[in-house]
Amino acid sequence: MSLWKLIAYRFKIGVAGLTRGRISRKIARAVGLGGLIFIMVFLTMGAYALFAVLASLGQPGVAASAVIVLLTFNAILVLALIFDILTTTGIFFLSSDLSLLMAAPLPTSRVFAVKYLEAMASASFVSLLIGLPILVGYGIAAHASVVFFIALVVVTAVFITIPISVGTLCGMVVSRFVPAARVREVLAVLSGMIGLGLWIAVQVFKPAMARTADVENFSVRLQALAQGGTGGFLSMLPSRFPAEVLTSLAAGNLTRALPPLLWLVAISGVMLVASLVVAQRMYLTGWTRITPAGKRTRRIRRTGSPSRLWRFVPTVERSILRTTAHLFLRDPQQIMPVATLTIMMAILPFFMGRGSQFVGLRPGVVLFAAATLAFIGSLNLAMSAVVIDGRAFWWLLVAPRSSLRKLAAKSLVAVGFFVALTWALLAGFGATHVIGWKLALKAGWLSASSTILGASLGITIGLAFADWEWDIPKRMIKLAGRLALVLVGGAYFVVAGAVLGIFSSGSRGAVQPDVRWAHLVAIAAGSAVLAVTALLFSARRMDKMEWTL
Amino acid sequence: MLTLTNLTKRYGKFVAVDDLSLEVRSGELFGFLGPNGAGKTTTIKMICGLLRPTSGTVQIAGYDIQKEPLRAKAVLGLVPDSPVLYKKLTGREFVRFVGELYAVDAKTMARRIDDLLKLLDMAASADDIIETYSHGMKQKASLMAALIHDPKLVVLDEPTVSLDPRSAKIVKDVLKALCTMGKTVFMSTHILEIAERVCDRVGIINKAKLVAVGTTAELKSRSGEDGVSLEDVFLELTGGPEEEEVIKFLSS
Repeated sequence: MSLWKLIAYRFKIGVAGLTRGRISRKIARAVGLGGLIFIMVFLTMGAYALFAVLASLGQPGVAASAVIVLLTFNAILVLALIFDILTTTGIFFLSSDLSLLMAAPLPTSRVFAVKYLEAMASASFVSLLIGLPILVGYGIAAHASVVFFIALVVVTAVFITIPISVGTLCGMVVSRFVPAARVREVLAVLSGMIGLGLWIAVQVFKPAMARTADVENFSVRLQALAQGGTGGFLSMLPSRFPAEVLTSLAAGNLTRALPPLLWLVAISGVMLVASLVVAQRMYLTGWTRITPAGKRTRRIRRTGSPSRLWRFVPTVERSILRTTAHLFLRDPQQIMPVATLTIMMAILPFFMGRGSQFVGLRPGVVLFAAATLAFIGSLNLAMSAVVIDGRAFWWLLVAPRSSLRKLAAKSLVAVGFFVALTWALLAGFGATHVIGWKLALKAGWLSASSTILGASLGITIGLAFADWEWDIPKRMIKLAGRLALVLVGGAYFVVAGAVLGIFSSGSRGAVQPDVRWAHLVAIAAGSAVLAVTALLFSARRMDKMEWTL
Repeated sequence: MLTLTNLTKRYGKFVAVDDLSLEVRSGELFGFLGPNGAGKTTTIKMICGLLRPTSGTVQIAGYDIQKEPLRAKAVLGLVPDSPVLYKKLTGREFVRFVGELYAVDAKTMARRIDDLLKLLDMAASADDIIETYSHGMKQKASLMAALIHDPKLVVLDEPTVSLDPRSAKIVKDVLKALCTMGKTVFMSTHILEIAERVCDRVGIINKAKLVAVGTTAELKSRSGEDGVSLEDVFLELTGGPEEEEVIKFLSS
């Protein structure tokens, strides 16, 4: 079979996966596609608005725009690189059609070529989804000609081969030393640690930045941003070439666009050839691990009977709670986002009070932040707590306990965690005198109400949109479920903003809410009613659930 | 112990199980046979309450699985066709989790877990994480979980698939022992030799319909010929290419 026929078959399978199936799935996919288009249009409009404002500021604004374009290409570079390392291992070593293709009378180099293209398509999708709308917005704001938009497509396509080539090479090397089945876990830990390190670095340098943060110095800051963004390490990355091509074309300067374009084509070409030759050799000679090894025995120390602290929780709920916690704690892919957030929150009180100009936090900000952290966090964690069982969820379905008890136990995971986290955070703020104890108590109460509501809604979304056959955490929930999470999150911000507005007694639009305990009790009662309704609805849905897997 | 009455499952126009009626007595080991896609797993899922019948009823120990699901599920243990377990738990933790869901008290559970681990030759790997288990070990862990609450009815979907001969023998012995203890076993299988050797009675399902029920001797005697095997009876009832056709195809 020729390479093109193989590619055509792979393409057909991909399209069939999207277009075939039950009508409900087709509708869900159509809604998902609509959502993606909406996000892209939203990003384009947002980028256009930002670049238009910057363009109106004259030379500093234009320079800042160039930095944003450069940063966009850097983001594409990093995202495509990470996604490629992640997908390389899966596509080259774990895909289900591999044994069929390898057993067929095909040259292995042809199988490699198909898999390489698959990895390219898969890895570039997310980065282009985010990057392209920003660059299109830039072109529209700059009133660029058609040449700019044609060049945008060409330059991006050429540029994306750089991270893909490097990513494939790295993926091959990583799969030599880390078994394919464990690569995602290792990378999850690494990315979490890098993210945390960057956040701490930002927090350490933040007070110094805050002292110069006033409106009068805005143009000075823009200039500083432009100088900082184009110098040092950033200037050494290949992202500067496509950025220079586009900024030159946006300014109508074709001659200036040519040298960086040639550099880009040359670098991409060299990287692509090197990757194809070296990675292919690594793959075909068996230098990398072909099988999903990593089935090494992993022994867990036996735990004794539950401590007295937990004995007040009924056995069934305690059992579901403990099992769900184990599923999170033993999977680095699941625990890293939660662990990173927890460490950030634990450190935050010590950073907040730093800086000579710190004057304390406004009550409205404290209440809103506490409630938002609790609501959004518990919404996502509770959703994951339901879906984390995956195909093993049927063990809960056949167990002779009411669905309400099972789901309540699942929601306790999120409620317990986020109530503890926000209360500890508020206590930290109180102890470091960032906020007063009275405000901390009110925020604690509000966050508890928000957590209960968020967890119940998370359970509802998880049960309704779970993809029980998920293999990696990002596929735990269907696209429609992700949209539901965004919609619920959006509705929360609208309602929370309205409530904050109602209680606001400050003048000139300043948020200085006068939230009394009576208000907080009313909010808690409303949240409890909604939470119970959502849980009852979910339990009813679970009772009627049919398990077809 | 298990009564299926006019059980039907439709998906739109497709009929997965058609008007199936069957009674399995206490202490009986019942084999449920049928070709691929005949409706075995759908029937088992309806018995366990994982699928809702389009019409008809399932009664387990006198409890209707649709009307009194909690009572019916309490006396039932299920071993599915593919052992889907919680891969990040250890075998011991997993069985304990299922036991707690079925409200088995701590002392009884500890004793039963130890007994089952020894019985199924799993003691050495009890504290290993399930994702490192082989398919056969997962199947055994699944069986342990199905038995931890001492169910009156055990339903198994292809329990010996992927098991080595020694493990398959252990499973067959366990199932026979359960019946001796008065438990009821409902087992689907493709392996006719197992059905012939182990089962008290068998039912054959083909194209969604139950086409025969009885002891293997009864089914063989129905064919009217001497020396027929259960395989002959099965192929006669479920169809399939004749030997001549196969030879003709291979030599063409």
